[in-house]
Amino acid sequence: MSKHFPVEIISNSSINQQFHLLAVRPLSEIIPPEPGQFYMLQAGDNYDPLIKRPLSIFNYYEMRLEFLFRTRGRGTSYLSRTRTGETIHLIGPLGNGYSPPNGDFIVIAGGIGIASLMPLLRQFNKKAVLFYGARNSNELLMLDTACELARKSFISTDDGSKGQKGLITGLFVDFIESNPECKLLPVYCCGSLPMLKTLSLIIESHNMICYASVEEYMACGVGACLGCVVKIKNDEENGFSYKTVCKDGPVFELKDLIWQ
Amino acid sequence: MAMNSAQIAQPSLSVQIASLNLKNPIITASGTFGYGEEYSGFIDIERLGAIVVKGLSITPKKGNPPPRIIETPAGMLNAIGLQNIGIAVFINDKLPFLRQFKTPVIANFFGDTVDEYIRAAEALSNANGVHALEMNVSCPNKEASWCVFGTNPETLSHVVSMVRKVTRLPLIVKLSPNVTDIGLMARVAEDSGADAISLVNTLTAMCVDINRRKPILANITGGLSGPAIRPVAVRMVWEACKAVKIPVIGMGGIMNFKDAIEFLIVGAKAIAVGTANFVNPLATIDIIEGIEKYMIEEGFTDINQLIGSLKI
Repeated sequence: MSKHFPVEIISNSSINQQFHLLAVRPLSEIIPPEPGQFYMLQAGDNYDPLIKRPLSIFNYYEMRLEFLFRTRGRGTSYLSRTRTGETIHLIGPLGNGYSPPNGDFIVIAGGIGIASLMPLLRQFNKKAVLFYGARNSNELLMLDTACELARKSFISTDDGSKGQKGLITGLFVDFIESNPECKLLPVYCCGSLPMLKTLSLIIESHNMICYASVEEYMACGVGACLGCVVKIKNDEENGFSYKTVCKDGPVFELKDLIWQ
Repeated sequence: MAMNSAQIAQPSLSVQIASLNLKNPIITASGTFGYGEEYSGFIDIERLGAIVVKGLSITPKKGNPPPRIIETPAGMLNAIGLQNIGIAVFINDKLPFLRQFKTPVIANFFGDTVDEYIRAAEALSNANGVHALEMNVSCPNKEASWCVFGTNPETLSHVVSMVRKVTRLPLIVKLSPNVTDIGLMARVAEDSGADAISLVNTLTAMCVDINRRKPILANITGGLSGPAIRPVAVRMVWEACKAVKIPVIGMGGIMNFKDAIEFLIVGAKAIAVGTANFVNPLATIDIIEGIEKYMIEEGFTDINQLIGSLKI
């Protein structure tokens, strides 16, 4: 179940140049989101930009929703300019979030991907081993909060400006090779396409279970426009079918995704 | 003595499309409302004039590879590739849900060949709960070098008259706007047995990624919709209304009641809401309420007084 509802902007702060934290107060009753679910946010006035923008829920508590996002195009720049007191409309919560872990688990976040995983870290405090990587230290967002919520954290940046220099998938491989018992833990991930592709090979070779949150351009968020599909392995003709990120996802089992 | 609100008669919004009686002229555009379920949590389906479901074919279609959509200035471009579950699954899995409402269900359908159109029309005509058919003639004709059925008067006439022979349901032909003379295509549909026409389908369009120097959509071209196309759609609906006697259903970028009323004034008997559903799942209901309010304010008691009331 999801709703279309107005919200008032409580605060909109720039974390660093491209990243923003938007907090809103729903003006009508809402349905509480689950970790990994998302909302479509109004991203323009007078129908331009026209389409709402999908953003993962970053934080939720009584009558407050928070979104952490990167400014990329016209819609997210509109959102980055919204001011306290303004009203916009949202649709949500949408999609299938992360299946809740039953005990300890592993989280792998790439850059802004932390936004989608943070509710999981919050809900299951000190249960996760966190792997968090980004291009540089500026793109390791909410790092202290994330590390505090995790049982153990591994950090990397491509340029070595924070944590280990290199890819986060490298730290993950080292970890499971030295802690083979951890291969039984479910992995939850969200990050760039190259990260997901590398991770899918690691997950496959170690026979692990991994849930990945993916993104695609979408128009409706409710499974009507069929614009946001990804290829998912199955027994149908040609071995795949198109599934919607908005309704069937955004979380899929990593092993089922076929990369374009 | 001032009239109190109880004395103001509710205006009549009901319209007739062939043998279909609609309680109001607001319908959903094919491909923007799924099979109804997708939006049933947001709005009361009973309040709609009619529902047009996502386009159906005899065999299921996987659709195009992504990227399938991209936003454009005040609009969007899509090339979904007519992905659908197929008529048999629609009848078994989706129609029972839609049958619980009094709102008429209009099944949109298409085929790659004339034979597929005929088989689709037959299958849907025999289904319990389908009240009318809408033919999408904007898809390529695989038998005639991929030209689009609906952009050539001969192929349009042929496919519509063949379908006409196999169905007694009201037959709506959804016209492509990608033609030079929309009035001619409207007349061809009428002369070939259509009970009504609907327009516009999306406008063929294209976007290019200048960094990769590649088309943005995997399909290269797509269909443009949204408020960006509305003035084009209003003009075409006006021309079509002048060309035929059968009812015309107008659509193209309708976002609110004012947009809808433009189409009614130029002669559309009903209007369809498409892309607006994505932006605002309550758009159809807002439009119904907006039209009602407009009619009361402007002193219309029957929506048919408004339809075709353009002053030139």
